[in-house]
Amino acid sequence: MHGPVEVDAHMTEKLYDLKQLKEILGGNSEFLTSLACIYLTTIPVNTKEIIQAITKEDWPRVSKLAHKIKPTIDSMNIKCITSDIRTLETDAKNRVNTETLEKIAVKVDTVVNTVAQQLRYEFNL
Amino acid sequence: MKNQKPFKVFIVEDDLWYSSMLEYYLSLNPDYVITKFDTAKSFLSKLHEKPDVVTLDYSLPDMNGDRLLKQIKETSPDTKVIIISGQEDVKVALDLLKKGANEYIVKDEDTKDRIWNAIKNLRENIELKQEIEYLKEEVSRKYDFSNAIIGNSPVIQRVFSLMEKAARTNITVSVTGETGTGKELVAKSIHYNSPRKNMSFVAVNLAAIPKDLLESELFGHEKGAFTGAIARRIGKFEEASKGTLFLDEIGEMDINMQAKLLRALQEKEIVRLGSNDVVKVDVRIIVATHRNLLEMVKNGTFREDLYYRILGLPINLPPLRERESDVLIIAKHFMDSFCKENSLPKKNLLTEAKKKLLAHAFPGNVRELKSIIELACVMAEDKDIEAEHLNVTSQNSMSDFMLKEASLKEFTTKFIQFYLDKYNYDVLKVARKLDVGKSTIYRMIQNKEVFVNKKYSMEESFLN
Repeated sequence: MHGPVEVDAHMTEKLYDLKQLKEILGGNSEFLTSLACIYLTTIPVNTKEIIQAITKEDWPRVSKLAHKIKPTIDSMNIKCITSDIRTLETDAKNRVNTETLEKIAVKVDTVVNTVAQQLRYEFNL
Repeated sequence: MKNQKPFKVFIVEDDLWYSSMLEYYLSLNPDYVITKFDTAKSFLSKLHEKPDVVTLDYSLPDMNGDRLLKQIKETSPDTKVIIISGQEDVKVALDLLKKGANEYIVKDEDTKDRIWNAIKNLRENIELKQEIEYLKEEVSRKYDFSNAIIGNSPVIQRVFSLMEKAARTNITVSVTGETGTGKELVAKSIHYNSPRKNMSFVAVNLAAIPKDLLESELFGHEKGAFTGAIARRIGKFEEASKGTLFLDEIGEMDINMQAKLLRALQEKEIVRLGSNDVVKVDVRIIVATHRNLLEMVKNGTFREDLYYRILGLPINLPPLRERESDVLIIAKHFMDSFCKENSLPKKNLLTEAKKKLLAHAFPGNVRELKSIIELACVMAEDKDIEAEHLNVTSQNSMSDFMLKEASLKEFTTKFIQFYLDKYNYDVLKVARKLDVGKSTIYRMIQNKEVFVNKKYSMEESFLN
């Protein structure tokens, strides 16, 4: 089992892009902060659950969790894992290439946690 | 009628990020009151609040969308449901739509816009339905017997009684009466007080349709039945299915067409022009005419068998001059309605104005009275309607009072009044024209047997 990779948030290039979200919210910074809080409390928990479900070979659960966090990954434009989250969702659902899913899940979890640190830094949370 | 109630939208979604985004986006419309739920259980506990729209995530942790949709439809059948699913599964979508879902939207980057449009459309739909219901109630109220036909005279009371009898059954009704007596109003009132009131009332003025087009108008036609028949069109009989068909001016119908109408009424079936297929029809028939059909039967211009087929329950509407006691009641009704519809202060008929109305024979009947009163409401500067505001000097006025039976003195009074109206209350001129002494007319004015306009009254008082 791989653990999450610790990243120095302010030293690393930003892995997300909130431009699209800011456009939708029309500059409502208060709501943007509350969305960042929702991210911090839900997404890292979900990626942990994905890794646990892979360990248990509970593929429907893996697919369901990946499907659940997919809109958040998309709307925060976390480009480096947008295709990975889809691979997790579809491969787990179809039970294909399951041996590669753990590696992908760990990558997703690492990026999600890095983004969490970067968000804490940006929004002073 | 604009619905002023807040529009309740429930978001049922276990993904907090997604539901928050959706809540934020939909809240941009200030008319929407948004409540979000992350479980089926918490949502069901509030379903009694009967939301207008529910956006429902198909895959909730504690219940699937299929079961939840069923519960929504059982508890709050009017609630519109938008299913939001992560999967684009046509079979599931069709199944859910069959079970009562209004929309099926797949989660992607355009979801919020599609939900926005779906809710907007559903809201318009709901408002349209509410408006239809409201208008249906309004129509029913409008054609309630007591609102539709106004009057206390014994003749009109008898009409009410016949209308009530007609409304209780499906009997064919034949309404006769002079123009403007309210034949169509009677037909509509019977329909809107009958068990058929929720179905169509279709009125056809047979005098207004060219002879060659009447068959197609009544029975419909198939595509290509004649030049210009570019598509199938149903006729008035089918349009009025399970409702009422009002055939106005039946006396104007061509004798050949009468045979076809008779067959339709007898067999309760029609054949569209250009077709061989028989279509069964269930319509209640009300006919009207200002003509004497029996006379037409004798003259051979109206089929006897059709006459007896359509006679059914005859309702004869008396002319207004035969129900003089109703004139002022009807006038007040029109006055109040017109002022209300046009946001005018309530008007009052002064004594001289009442006399002028009562002296008139109303050859145009209630329709004429309505038009006179509405014009008077417009012309009167303040709340009082004076005699001069009533425009009763129609071209028919001379023949008007010949219609009414009256004593010689009454005829004389009306005659002098007619000339006073005609010559702008110029007493000297009227006296010359009628070859009577001017003092005779002045005396009649002083005795209030005839009246003159305000301007003249001032001159008169000045002379006195």
